[in-house]
Amino acid sequence: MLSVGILAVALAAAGCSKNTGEDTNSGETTKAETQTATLAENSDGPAPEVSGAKKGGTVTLYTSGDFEHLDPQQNYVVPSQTTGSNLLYRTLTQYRENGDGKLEVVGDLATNTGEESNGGKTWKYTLKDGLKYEDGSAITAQDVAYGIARSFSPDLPNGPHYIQQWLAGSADYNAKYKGPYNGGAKVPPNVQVPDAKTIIFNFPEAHADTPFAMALPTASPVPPARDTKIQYDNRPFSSGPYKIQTYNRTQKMVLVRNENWDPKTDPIRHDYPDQYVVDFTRTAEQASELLISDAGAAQTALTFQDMTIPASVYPKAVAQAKDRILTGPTQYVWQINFNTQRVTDLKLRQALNYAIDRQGLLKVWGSYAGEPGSTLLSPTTSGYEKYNAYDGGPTGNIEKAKELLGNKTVKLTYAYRNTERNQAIAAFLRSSLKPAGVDLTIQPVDEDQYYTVIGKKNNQFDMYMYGWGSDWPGAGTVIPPLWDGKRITPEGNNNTAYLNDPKTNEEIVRILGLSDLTEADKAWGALDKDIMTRLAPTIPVIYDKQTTLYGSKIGGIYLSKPYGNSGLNNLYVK
Amino acid sequence: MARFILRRGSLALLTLFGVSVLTFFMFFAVPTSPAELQCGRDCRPAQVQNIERQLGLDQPLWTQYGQYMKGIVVGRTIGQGDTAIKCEAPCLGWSFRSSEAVSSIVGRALPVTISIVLGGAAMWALLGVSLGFISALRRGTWIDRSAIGFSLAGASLQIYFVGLLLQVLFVYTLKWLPTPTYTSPFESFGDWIVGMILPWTTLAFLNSAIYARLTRAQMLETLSEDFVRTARAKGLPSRQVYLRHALRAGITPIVTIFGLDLGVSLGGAVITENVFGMPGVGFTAAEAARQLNLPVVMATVLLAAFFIVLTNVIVDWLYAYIDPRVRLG
Repeated sequence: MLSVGILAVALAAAGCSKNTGEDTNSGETTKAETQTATLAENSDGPAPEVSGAKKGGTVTLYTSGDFEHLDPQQNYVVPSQTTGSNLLYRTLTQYRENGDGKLEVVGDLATNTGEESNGGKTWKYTLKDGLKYEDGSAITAQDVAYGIARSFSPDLPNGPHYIQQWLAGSADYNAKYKGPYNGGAKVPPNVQVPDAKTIIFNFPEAHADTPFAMALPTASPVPPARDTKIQYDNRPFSSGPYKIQTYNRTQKMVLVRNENWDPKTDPIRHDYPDQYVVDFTRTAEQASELLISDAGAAQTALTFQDMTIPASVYPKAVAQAKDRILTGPTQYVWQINFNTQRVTDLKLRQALNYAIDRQGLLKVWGSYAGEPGSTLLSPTTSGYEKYNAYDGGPTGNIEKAKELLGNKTVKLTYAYRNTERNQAIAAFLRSSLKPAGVDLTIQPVDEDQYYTVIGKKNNQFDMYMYGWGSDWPGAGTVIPPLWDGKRITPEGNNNTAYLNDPKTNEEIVRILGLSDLTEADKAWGALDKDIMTRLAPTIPVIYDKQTTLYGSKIGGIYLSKPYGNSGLNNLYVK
Repeated sequence: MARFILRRGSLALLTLFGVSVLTFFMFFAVPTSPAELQCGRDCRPAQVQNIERQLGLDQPLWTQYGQYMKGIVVGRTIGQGDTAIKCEAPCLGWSFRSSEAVSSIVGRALPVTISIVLGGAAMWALLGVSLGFISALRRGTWIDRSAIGFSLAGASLQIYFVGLLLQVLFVYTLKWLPTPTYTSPFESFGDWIVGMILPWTTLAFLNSAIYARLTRAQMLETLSEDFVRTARAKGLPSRQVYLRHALRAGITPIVTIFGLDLGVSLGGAVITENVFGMPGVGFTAAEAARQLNLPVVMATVLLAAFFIVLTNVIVDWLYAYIDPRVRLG
């Protein structure tokens, strides 16, 4: 049973590190472990001072496009979650990281990570004293409830759906409640707000991961009077250390200090820079060149969002700015999923697992952007256990694959996202799998349509690349959405292997019901191995890595474990 | 004059109507669902249907087109219930990608494009006409050959090459200039100039060639005409002969090309804006097309058509001003 206090995810120190300029494709990355602790004072502010940090200056974030959503209840993409949760809004719980790999979940708005009762079904949160919005008004539990109520609205469909589904006790969380608009209640079903400082969740089922879920922006407060509904994306009302001064979509966003944010209530965030500027107009090449040159404003800038150093610029970056590259693993695993409705032969799936040339694939992918992967869970996810069910060596075992295939030739169709990198990967797969007897037809799918197309149950492809990262460092946000056959619908699927295995489905239900996270982690790790060994529905190929380039006057930078992105909490201008 | 305005105005409206119909219906020929794109990766069919209702995509095409055009004239309400949005005239639609009125998006992008294009156009016209003018007066000399060689070099290169080269040289290597960035001239005139130097220079270098060649040819032709000889015979100073008589008579086709170039560029200098990371109309249009963001695509296409029509009308009017033999009617 989870104690009141801190739920900590401790990560071995090998992960977040500065780049040495060498490829580190050893396959030995971080291993995540979960543990519970009872240090309630870790939820108290202020956050520990960052050594050498000082106030002042402007930090610029270079990105090649605007945020998809900054509305906290629609915010479901890593960079916008980092920006929102580090700078703009607070949540019931949040992650505290000090940059050395240690990660803790602590109370953010709440005094702790939640008080559990009723076998993990009921969770009570009490808000701290002195919490204020940017206008100086008090943050209330009613506002937190209202924020969660908004996330039910069909007009705001893009955020995570965990809390809604848990409260509804069903994947179809809109069956009985459609949010606070058009006459809907301001407090969602199964939520109680007895007073301005207390919010209680009564889930129909036990959810041991609740402290993690409450760190999602879904659990961010929104005062009803400030709710501009679908336009809230353009001006979320701040409860964090910064507020929006200007936000010109697709051009630039300027954040300035929120004078009403009280650091004494916040155990995580700092407000060292005077301003943050997010420049949405730079290509990855431009931004990298600017940062390598380290001229002018680039000295206090960094690449952000999905902008990683392009392969064409990477050697130059290593040669000229080696000590200004931050690299480390993210929570994402890239895998080549089999459409198991079409590729029904287990031996064929196992053969391709043996045949895959991960070393060659990684060269095409960009050797600095990942490491060879063999498991469903990322090394940064709790529950991860290292194994390779079909160890064909770094370049694959063609002979073993041919043996499993009985020396026959099979024809398969591989769909790929029509981008430069994926074109090269598709061509590589076609040529590298040919000696095993696989005649691969490669078929491009429009970049923006890709996930929609392969998310349709009746898609006509046999294999495709799929990437998934945990929503918090727990396997409960990886295995169930990707491998639970009962979640398969005609469209919008994340289980794009369309695996519907009764034993797996039952085990998922069992593990989700466990209240002991350590036991759950072990079970997820075992299930990961069981799925691969018994069913081989995919070929895990790459553990993703994030690479950030930053200016010489940036201090306090670190790779955030839960977000897989540069953390902004400790940044300062030297 | 009134007849001229009426005739050209009607023609302009007809052109814009044709462009709007074509763009609107071509967009729906694309085999994709904007609602699915809007809904994101983890989306259920019911959510897609809700967005289709909000976007009005469940209505017949002509109804959707009619509502769009009505919005431009009188404004309209988009969506239903508490989340409905009142879009004031001229309502160019609503971008569900960025949750804002398309007119705001265009209003933000337009000053960037205008800054790039007007500054660049002034430079390329001045440079091109000057080079052509000098070449004509110094025909056959090394000045003539150098000037034409310079402009031809510009015409032979591409903006994505020259633009990047200048950035690498002046921004990344020599560090003489900051990253090209748009700053409003009303905010800081100095920053506006400094931020625009590279795009202007690049455009001037690449686009001046045709103006230099054309000016040179026109000048050589008019310098041999009788009225120029007469002006010289009357004892007018060379400066007056060249500028007031020869250049003025020869500049008409240059004004025509300049007007067309200006119109096309104001509709969106797509490559220039992307090379320099300046989110003008072209940058916005390309992004919208990639995202299948119909309202923004429609608005940017209509804007481009409007500028071409407008600059054509201005060019016609300028003919009469430059050449007294031309009368409006």
